Amino acid sequence: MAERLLIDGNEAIARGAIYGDCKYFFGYPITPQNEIPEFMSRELPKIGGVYVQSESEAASVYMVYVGALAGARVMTSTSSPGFSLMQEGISYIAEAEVPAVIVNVMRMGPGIGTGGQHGQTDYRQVTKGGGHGAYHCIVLAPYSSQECFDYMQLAFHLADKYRVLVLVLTDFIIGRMAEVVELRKLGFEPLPEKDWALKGKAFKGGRRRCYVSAAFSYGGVPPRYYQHMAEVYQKIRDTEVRYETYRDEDAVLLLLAYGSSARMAKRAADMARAEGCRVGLFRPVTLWPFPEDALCQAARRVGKVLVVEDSPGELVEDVKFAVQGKVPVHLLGIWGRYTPQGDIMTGGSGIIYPEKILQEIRGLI
Amino acid sequence: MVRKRYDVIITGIGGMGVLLTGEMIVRSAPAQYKNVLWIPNYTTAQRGAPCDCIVILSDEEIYSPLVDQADAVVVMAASQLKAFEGRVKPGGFILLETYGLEDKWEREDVKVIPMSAIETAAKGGDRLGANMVALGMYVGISKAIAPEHIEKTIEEKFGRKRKVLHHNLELFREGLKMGTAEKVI
Repeated sequence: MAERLLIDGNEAIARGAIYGDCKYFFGYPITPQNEIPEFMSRELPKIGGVYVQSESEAASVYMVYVGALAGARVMTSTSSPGFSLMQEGISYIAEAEVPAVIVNVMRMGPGIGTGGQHGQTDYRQVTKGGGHGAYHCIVLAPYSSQECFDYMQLAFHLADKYRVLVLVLTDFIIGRMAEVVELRKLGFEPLPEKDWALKGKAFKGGRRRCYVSAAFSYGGVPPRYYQHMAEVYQKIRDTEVRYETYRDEDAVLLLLAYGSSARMAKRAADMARAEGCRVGLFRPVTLWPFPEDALCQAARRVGKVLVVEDSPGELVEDVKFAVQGKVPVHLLGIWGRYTPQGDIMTGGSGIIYPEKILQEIRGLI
Repeated sequence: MVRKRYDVIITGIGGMGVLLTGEMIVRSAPAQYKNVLWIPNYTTAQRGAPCDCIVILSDEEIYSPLVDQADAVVVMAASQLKAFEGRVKPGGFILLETYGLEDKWEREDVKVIPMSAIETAAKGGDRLGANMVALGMYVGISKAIAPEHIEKTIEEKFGRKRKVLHHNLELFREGLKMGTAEKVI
């Protein structure tokens, strides 16, 4: 049996990356993801890998870019303000179609945000771009330490399979919450050789061949570029949609949440069931591609949806789009937070506790 | 019958070993429970600012990592009493550090147990060990976990520093004795 360890989501991400054969990490410190570079800086040199602390996030994303161009499995991790700084490089990575993985352990709020404060306010940025040029990244949203570990292996596989950037989105709660993780190596289908990688002429029969272009210098964007990208994205939409449903078969209300909010929502569903309210949960695991069809079917069967997200309302936009106005969609957003101790502040501005979700459920049933 | 689920909130001031106390419980617990979870809450200041952690031990799946009200609250710094008095379920208990205590508690539906962890640790020569006394008291009262599992974790954590290990084990046992003597549950 695989080894079992009690580790937090951040360490699970770092360990998962190494199980996913990642050997190169370029990063810049920022709370609440520092456990990832800390682990990588200690462990990568031991397995012949390289850890580089860059001078800024804008630099680390380009280090990831060129490392990926050389055909290696590379990654970086950051938190919201750092992720914003990376947008230019991310757009370039998308243009050149090089596979890499970036982890965003969200903080709350725009600007500098708050390192020790939980929040899910980057949904729109990670799913709708953030950089320029109408590209897509696959976005995985784990909700436990085990999923952090497993999805990092999946992230590297998907990146190589489609030559896209894969984003793994977590937050303070998922990053710092410690659970027992089974260190299991996942198996995936074989991948094509990286014949496009820049490894030197010796690997290409002595010929100089250019497969990757970082600039559409001559004549602008080639006419077939967007057609080609649309085909890649369609293939991803057709095959890589992932989601989880929980107690939704006979439900009269469907909760919709991802990441840490889904943990609270799942508990609230159980609490509601204990009171005789038939409540289920739909949890998107891939935020892009968004499980539109599956959600639409489930929502139409159940008849009513309550979106729970620790944000002013971003996920709810995708949900409304998916159900096409056929099902009423309610939102319990960031204003659903409270501090159980009342007005006394202890360093946070509250959380959407399961009790609050239950209260909202009662009002809707 | 053995209870299936225990949760506890431990609160204090950064630097006291608040998060470590929770870590000692959660690291020991897989020996006894199918699922365990630990989650910290802290601000940008590492020392001197309020912080807390939640520990959940359960044979059933743990979904929400956050609990509004827990079975018990360990208040390691008296200044945190008012902020955390409301975080205990009716019928639960608060372990309350008495050193520097100025506030009065209002809850009548919970048991408040005074704890002189800082004084006990100071008598042993180092008040930084107060968290080990609190840990012992919590284990002694709640019986959420067998003391030998905690002792093993303490040995693993401090095994390389024999003096610190010995000192911590002594304080843990002292707290355990004080906790076991309490008639709460």
